[in-house]
Amino acid sequence: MLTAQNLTKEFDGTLALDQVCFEVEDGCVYGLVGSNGSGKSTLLRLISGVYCPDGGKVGIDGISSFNNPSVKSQIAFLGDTPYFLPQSNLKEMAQFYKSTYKNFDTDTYKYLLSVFPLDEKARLSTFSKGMRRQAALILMLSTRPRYLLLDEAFDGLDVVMRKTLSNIIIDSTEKLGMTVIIASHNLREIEDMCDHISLLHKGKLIADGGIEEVSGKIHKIQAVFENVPETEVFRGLDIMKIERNGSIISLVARGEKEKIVAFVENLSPKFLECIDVSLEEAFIYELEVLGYDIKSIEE
Amino acid sequence: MTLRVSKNKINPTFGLFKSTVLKNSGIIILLVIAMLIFCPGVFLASLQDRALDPEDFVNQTPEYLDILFGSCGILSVIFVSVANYLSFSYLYKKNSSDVFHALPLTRSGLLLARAGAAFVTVLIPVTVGYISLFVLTAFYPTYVIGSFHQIASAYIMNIICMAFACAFSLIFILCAGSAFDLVLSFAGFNSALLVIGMIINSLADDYLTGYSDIYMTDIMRFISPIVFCGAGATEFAMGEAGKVPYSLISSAGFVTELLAITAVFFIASIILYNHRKTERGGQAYAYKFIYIICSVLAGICGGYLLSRIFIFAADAKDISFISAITFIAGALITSVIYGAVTERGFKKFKSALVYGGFSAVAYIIILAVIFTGAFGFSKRVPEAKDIKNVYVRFQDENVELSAADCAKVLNLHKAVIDRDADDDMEKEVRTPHTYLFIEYKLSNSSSMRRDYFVDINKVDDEMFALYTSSERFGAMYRDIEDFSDGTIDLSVYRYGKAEGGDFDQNRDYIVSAKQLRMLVDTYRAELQKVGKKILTGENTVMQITACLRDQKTFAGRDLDFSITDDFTQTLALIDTFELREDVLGE
Repeated sequence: MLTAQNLTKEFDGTLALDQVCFEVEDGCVYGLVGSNGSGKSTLLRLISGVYCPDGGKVGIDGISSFNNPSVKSQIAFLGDTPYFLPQSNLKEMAQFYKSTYKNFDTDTYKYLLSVFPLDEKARLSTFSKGMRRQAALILMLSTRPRYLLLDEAFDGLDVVMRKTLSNIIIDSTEKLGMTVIIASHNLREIEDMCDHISLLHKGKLIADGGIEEVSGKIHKIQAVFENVPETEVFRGLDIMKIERNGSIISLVARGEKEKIVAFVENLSPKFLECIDVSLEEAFIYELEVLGYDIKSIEE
Repeated sequence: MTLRVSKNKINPTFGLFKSTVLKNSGIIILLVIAMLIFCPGVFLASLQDRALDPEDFVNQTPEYLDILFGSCGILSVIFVSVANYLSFSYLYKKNSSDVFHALPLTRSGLLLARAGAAFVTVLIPVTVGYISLFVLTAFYPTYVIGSFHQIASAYIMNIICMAFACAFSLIFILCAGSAFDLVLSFAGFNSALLVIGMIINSLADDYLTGYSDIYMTDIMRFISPIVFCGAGATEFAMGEAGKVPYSLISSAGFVTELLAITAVFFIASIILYNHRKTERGGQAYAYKFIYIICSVLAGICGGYLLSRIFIFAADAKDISFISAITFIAGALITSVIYGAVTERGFKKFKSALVYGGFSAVAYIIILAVIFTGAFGFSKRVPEAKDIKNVYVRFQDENVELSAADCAKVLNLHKAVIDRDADDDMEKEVRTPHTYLFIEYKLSNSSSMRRDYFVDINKVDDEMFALYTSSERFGAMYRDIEDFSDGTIDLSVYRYGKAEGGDFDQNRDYIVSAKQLRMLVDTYRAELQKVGKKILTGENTVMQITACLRDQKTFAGRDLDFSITDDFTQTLALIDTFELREDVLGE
C-alpha cells in the first residue's frame, strides 16, 4: 500500500504541499485532480522519489521512496513532458531502461509496440507530442511497475490512443494488480476509469474518496417559493453555494440528500427538485468554496 | 495483454554506467581515432628526423613523452570536465531530472555511474595514446621517446589528474542550476582566484618584509586547486624542484596530496548530490554558497581593479582614503553586477550589496595579515639545526653554504629584521642599498626564501663579516677544486669610467684552476684592506665572473667579484692571464 503521512513540501518559502495524508490501495486507479499549481505534480515527484519531502513521509508499505532503489524499482513515473536521451530512438531507450530496471520486460515492450504503432528505430526527437507520450508510456509500462504514476497522462494523445491507454491501464490493474495514479486538471478525462479521487488545492487535500462517495456528498436543490425565504434561513444546512433568482432559490449543500430535502420541504416550497451533481461539478463547488476562480479550471 | 514477470539480473548502477558508455561510444571512437593520428601517427612521421645516437639517449629528455603528457594531460583534463557536464546536464531540466532521479538508484549510485562513464569516455583514448607510446618505445628503443617506467608513471599521473578534474568539476556542476551559471561560476571562481593570487603577491611584495615573489607560485598553488594540480604535474614531468622527471616515487608527496584533494572533492560531491534539491533545477544555483563565494571573489577583483585605476589616475598611495573608497565602490558595483547576472535582474540587490561588503572585509583581512607580518612570516629566521644548506645572493655575489657554515648568514638575516633594514625598493633612498636574497633548504625538505632591499649602513658589520668570511671563500675553493673540466672561462667586465672612455669593455680570459685560486687569494687579501666600502658597490671598476660550469649540462656555479681601484694587485694579476677574445661593447 502506498501511504503519505503529513507530507509537506516547500519551494522557497511557498508551501507546495501542506500536511497531505492519503492511502492508495493496491490495484486501484487513483485520480489526483486539482487546480493549476495545486501540487499534483509535486506529489507524484515525492512518491516517485524525485523529491525529498520537507516534512512527513511517503512510501510503499511504510518504506520511504527517496533514495531507496528497492522502492523506486516498483514505481514508474511519467512526467508531464516526456524526456528521452539526446539523439536516441525507442529501441535505445528501451535498452537504457532495461539496464536500470530489473523488471523491464521485453515481451511487454514488444506487445506495447504492437499496440502503439511507433517506429522503434526512428529518432524520438522527430516524433510528435502525442507519439513521444506514447513512446514514454511504452517504456514505463515495460518496466512492469507496481505503481504507475502518470502526470497529465492523456495530454497530446488522440481519441483512439486515449481509449487504448485507458484499456491498458484498466487491464494492467485487473490482471497484474498494478496501481495507477493519474494526475490531471481535467476531471472528465479520468473520472471514468478512477476508483478513487482526491482533490488538491493550494497544496491541501480537500476531498478524498470513491467517485460516488465524493460526488454523493454534494447536492443541488432548486425550489420555487411563493414567499421567498431569506437566505439566512438555510443556515441550518452545510451550504456551499446559494443563489436567489426571483421566486427561485438554487442551493448547493453538503450532507445527506434526505436531510437536505426534508429541510427545504419544511419551508413549504411550491416546487422542489434535487439534482444529482457530476463529479466535476462537485469539485468545482468545492473549489468555489475555497475561492478559486472557476473559469481557470474549465479553461 | 499477456504479461509475465521477468527479473533481469542487473546492477542498476553498473547498468546505467554501461548504457551511458555505450551511448558515448561514437565520441569515444572519434577521440581514439584522433589519438591514433597524433600518437603514434605524427610521432612515426617525425621519427626519422629525431633519430639519435643511443649513447646520447641517456642525456636527453623523453621528448615524445613530454609532448604526449603535456598535450594529452591538458586536453584530457578539459575533456573529462566537459564530459562530466554532459553527463550531468540532466540536472538543469525538470523533465530530464525527473527521469534520472526516478531511476531505481541511490543518488550516490547515480553520481558514480554518470561520472564514471564520463571518465571512461576520456580514459579510453588516453590509454590508447600511452599504449601506442609503449609500442613505439619497444620498436624504436634508441629514439627519444621515454622509458617504459616513465611512460607508465606519466599514464598514472594523467589518470590522477583526470580524476582530480572530474571531482573538482563535479562540485560546480552539482552546485549550478543551469549551464550558464555553471560556466559563470566555474570560470569566475578559478579566474578570480588567479587574480587574487596576483593581488596578494603584489601587496606582499610591496608591504611584507622579506617576501620574495618566488612565493607567488606557492600562493597560487595554495588558493587555486587547478594551479596546484597543473604546477605539480609540470614539476613531475620536468623534474623541477629537485624531482626526478616522470617518477611517481620522487613526486610521492604531490601524488598523495592530489589524491587526498581528489577524494575530498569527490566525497563533497556525493554529499552535495545527496542533499541537492532537484526541484531547484532551472534556478541559478542549487547551492547558494557557491554564488556567495563567487560574488565575494569577484568583488575583491572588481574593487582592486577600480582602486588601482584611481591610484594610478590620482597618483595616490596604495593605502589611502582614495584607494579605500574606490575599492569599496568597485567591490559593491562588481557584486551587484554579478548578482544581477545571476538573478537575471536586481531582485537580490540588497544581498549583492552585502556580498560586496564581504569583499571589502576580505580585502581588509588580507591587508591586515600582510601588514602584521603574515603570522610571523616577516620575523621568522630558521634555527641553525633545521638548516640543510643556505644560498645567499647579494652584491652580484652568489654564496652557497652548508649548514655548518651558515651562522654568519643567520646573523645577517637577524640583523636585517632586528634593525628594520629592509626598505621599499620603489622608495627614494639616500643611503647605499643592496638586494639580498636568502634561501634556506630545511631538513624537512621545504625551502624558506626571503628577499630584502637592504640599507647597507644598518647591517654593514654582519654583511662584511659574511663577505669576508672563511665560509664564503671556503665554498669558492671547494668549487674550484671540484671543477675538473680543465680550463676556466673568466669574464671580466670593465666599466667605462675606469678606462676613462665612453665604453664599457668586456674581456674573456682562459685560466687554470690554479690561476683562479691565486686570483681568489689575491682578491681575499686585498678585501680586508678595502674594507666595508666594497659593500656599497661604489667605485666599482670591474666585475669578474669565473664560470665553473659543465659545458654540456651547464651544471655548476659562477664565482663573482666586484673590484674597485683599490684592488691593485688583483687588477695586475688579471692582466697576466691569457686573453681569449676581446669584445668591445657599449
